[in-house]
Amino acid sequence: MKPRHAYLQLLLACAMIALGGVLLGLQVDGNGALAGTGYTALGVAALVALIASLIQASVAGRVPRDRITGLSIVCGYCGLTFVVAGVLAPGGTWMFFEVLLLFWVLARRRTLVQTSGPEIGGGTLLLVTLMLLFRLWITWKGSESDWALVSVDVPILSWLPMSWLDPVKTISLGSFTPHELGFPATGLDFPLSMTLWSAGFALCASGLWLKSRAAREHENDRIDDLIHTLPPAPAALVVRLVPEEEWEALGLHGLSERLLARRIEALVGRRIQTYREVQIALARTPLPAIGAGEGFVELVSRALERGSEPAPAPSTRSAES
Amino acid sequence: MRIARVAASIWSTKRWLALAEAATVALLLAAVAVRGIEAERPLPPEERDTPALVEPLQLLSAGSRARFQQFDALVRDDLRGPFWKAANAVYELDGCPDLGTWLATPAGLEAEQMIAQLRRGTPEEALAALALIFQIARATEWDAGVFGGARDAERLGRLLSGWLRARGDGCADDALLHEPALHAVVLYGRAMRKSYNAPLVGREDSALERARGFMAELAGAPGGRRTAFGKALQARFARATGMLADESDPLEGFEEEARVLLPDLDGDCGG
Repeated sequence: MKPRHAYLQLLLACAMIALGGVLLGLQVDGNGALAGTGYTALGVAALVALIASLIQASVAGRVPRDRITGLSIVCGYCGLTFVVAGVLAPGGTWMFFEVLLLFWVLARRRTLVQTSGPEIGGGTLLLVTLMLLFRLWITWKGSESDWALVSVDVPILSWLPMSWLDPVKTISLGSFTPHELGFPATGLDFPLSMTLWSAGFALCASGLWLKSRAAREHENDRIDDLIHTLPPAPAALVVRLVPEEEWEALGLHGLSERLLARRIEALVGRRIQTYREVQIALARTPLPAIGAGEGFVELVSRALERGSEPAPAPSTRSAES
Repeated sequence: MRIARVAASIWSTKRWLALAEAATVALLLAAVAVRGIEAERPLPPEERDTPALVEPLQLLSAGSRARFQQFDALVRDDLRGPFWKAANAVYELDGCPDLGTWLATPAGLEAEQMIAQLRRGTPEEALAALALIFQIARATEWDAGVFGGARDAERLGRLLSGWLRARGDGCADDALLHEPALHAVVLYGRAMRKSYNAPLVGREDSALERARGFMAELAGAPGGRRTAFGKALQARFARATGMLADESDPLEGFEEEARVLLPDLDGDCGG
């Protein structure tokens, strides 16, 4: 069987996340050699991602139903870990506050079923992008041997041309050390490292975004495949009764094949029953009695009249077929 | 036949997809593994190779006279005679004359010519040239005080920048010249700061701009690609090189380093 687009998109999203993770794990030292970014931030990020994933899964998670969905769940967790590790300040008090903020944002309640592991929304994406910019800022300051977030000149004192006052002329806010930043001993090549991290972040974030959309499409494909095990005419009727746009909202995503078949059977039965009841009610309702109104009443009565008209007779060609 | 072809294409598609999935898993593992790549520890060149002259910094210190004889076998034959003449003149300097004034004397002119000839020679000859510059800086006055102007400090800066321009970038991996060149930059920074601070009122901004321009030429532009020597300088004197971008006193970092590393080279003959 030819793989569907959603399957390929899911695979592409997983590959993007994995490649982004590789780029986010590297930095270029002062000699132009590649070095790893260390395991400290990765360990903290793995914990953040694990707790966020568990909270999201307890509310909206589903067990994977095939190999690609299983892979996408693993990639979802790893992608979240890589993104968080990539944007965390490398140490100190800043990291603590960032972790708290990320817990609050990532572990919020989800309304839709998640079949492919943890997801990040648009707001969270904006937040982690800002955190990445913050990390790049302090890394740039560090690469220029300026070990403070901001240096503020003290008015009056900073204007005096006396060098012995230099220690008190400026106040450094948010100081940090090369050790906290995890710099290699030979220093950091900031332009190349920044390029690696930005590309890695872009790949991971867009991979996570693509993964959540492709996973929904993949679930729709799975349901569609099950429905099309029916002959074409009944399958088309089932799709008309239970339209594709409603599959996710009806909770069909992530169900096992047996449960899915039962749920579709129940839905089809219930909707046909409802349709029959409406037909009977339409036949028994005296429509001309309510058709004399204006505005909303007139519009509704016309719609009801159209619904009660007998269905057109099948054409000769279709009757012959 | 057609069925077989379709079956084969399906099998190959499945195999391709399985390969892609396996590659993704391998990339995920690599993403974790690459974080453990250890950065290279910087090893100074003098620890990688044994230079012809061990402890070259001794030849720049106040006690260099005791070892200066070692250059005799290392300077090429045609320069040996003039070299010793210039070296003796430098080591016999007394009375702490102004640097510019002494350089204008016949002995000073000969010494300056010898420095220019030696700095482009072998590493040992270049070190001999630098040792002469340091000894001149030690025995002459180039910090003229409040009313003395910037002439002598500028002159010393020019001697040092000439040497650094000739040997600077190659020094990054030279076991003999690595450390001496870094110390030469520190002394250059101190000399140019004295020139910058020389005017009684205000500052000599042109001296600062010359120093900044030369440092950028030697070490690479700040924020851009650093030269090999620039990386060594950054690794050794991170604070001083970082302060070059400051507005208030950009050369202060080198002055701080000089106070510790070269206390006797204060521009006032150690007085």
